[in-house]
Amino acid sequence: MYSTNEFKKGLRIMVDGNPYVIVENQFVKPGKGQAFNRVRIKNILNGNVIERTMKSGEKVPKADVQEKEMQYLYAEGEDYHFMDTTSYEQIELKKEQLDDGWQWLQEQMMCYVVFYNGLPISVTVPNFVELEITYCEPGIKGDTATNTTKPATLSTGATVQVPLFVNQGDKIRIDTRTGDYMERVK
Amino acid sequence: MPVPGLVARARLLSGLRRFLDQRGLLEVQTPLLASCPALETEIEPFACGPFGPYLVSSPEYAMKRLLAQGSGSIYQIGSVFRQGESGYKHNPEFTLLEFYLVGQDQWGLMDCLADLFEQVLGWPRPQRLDYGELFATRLGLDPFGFSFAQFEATLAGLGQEVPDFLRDSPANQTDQLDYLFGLFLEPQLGLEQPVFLTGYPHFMSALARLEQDGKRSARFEVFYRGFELGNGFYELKDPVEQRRRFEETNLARTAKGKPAYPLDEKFLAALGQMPDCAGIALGVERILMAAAGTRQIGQVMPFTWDQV
Repeated sequence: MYSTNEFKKGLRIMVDGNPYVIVENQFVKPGKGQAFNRVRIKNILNGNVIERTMKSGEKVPKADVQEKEMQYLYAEGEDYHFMDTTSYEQIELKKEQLDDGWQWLQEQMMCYVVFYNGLPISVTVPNFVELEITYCEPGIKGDTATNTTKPATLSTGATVQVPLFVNQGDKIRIDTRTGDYMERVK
Repeated sequence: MPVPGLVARARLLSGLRRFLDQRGLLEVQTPLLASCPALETEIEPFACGPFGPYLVSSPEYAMKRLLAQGSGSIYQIGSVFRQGESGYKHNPEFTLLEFYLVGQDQWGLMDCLADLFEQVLGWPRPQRLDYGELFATRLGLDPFGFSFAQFEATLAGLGQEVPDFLRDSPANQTDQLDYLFGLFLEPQLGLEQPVFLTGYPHFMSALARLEQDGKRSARFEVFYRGFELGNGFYELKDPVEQRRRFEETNLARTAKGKPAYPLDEKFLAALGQMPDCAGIALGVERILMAAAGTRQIGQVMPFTWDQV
């Protein structure tokens, strides 16, 4: 059990029989009155965000959610395979469970797989990945000043916006949280 | 904490002392450890052992004993401790400025405070609002008498449901009013200038006198930029009434499953000798937050609870 005093962003709790992660926690205490916590929580299974108010000091169950570092192996159709590098145990997730994560997966990449009640439910990829551009319009030399961008297709099949000077075959760094191009890597 | 924040805190403390010294108040220091905690339904003290002593959640009882001994007007700037209060605007340990003006009522105290804001902080003169009117105009609810159905309807009008903990039996009208106030009224208070909110219902006063009508308490709270800075009142000095309120508070605590505490008999014995006075407790961090335009207490403290 967690007390509301331990609430913070990222904590995983059970509410009405469903696992949630705390997105925002606000402690409200008017004057000398009853304190309460107003939380915004996201359903770990379907992503729905709801608001809840709980009396401060109230206890809520922990969600049986674990994260395990695993290596991405390969994709077979809609199935994505991951392996525990110590036990060699393998698991698979459906593409839809990965959300946008599939766009950044490269073979042998280490990711965090989230398990709920022992079953894999989602994957957290590293915040930054380096991927090769497999197709884009030819680069315009010297154009580093303007903010104009063009679409580029990556080795994973994802499309990102890149500056005009970037070329096909270049390796680029991407922030997976926003999907934004960061820089070209040598 | 970056150096400018340390400088802002140091300047505020010296500015407050200069202002209060010039007004003839005497700076005092009372103990941080007390054998009886300040008795409040919703404030939890830190106990240093199974039966105390307790870290003070407010220096009020000790300062009132000094007033009863003839100290004259006094002030104190010091740390206080409240268990479980941790959030954007709260830290379990914080700094309180508490002062008492002998011979003044809450209105005189408000005038003094307006001067303090103007001279120490350069803030505009506060606006006065009435608690009952605020609820009536903003929420269409009469805080002095309403049913659970009316409370539920008020929340429904705001697109909200009654949370479970306000349906349970120990929750009372004070809890319901505090809930509405904290979520829907307080964040809008004092956006232009500080606000003195007056005319609180009689059932929301722990140590304040009541107005002649017996309906409202002689108490006010001060708000700026969407949060509370402090709580002041014309001090109750009737030991019989004070004892009755303490006993009521202990009953309310027990009903909520919290421990009852022994009454501070030394304080009660002194109360009858205390001169007429008005006093206020102001959160020093809250003042710094309002001055800096932040809603995060972590921005104005060298280290918050989770950093020590």
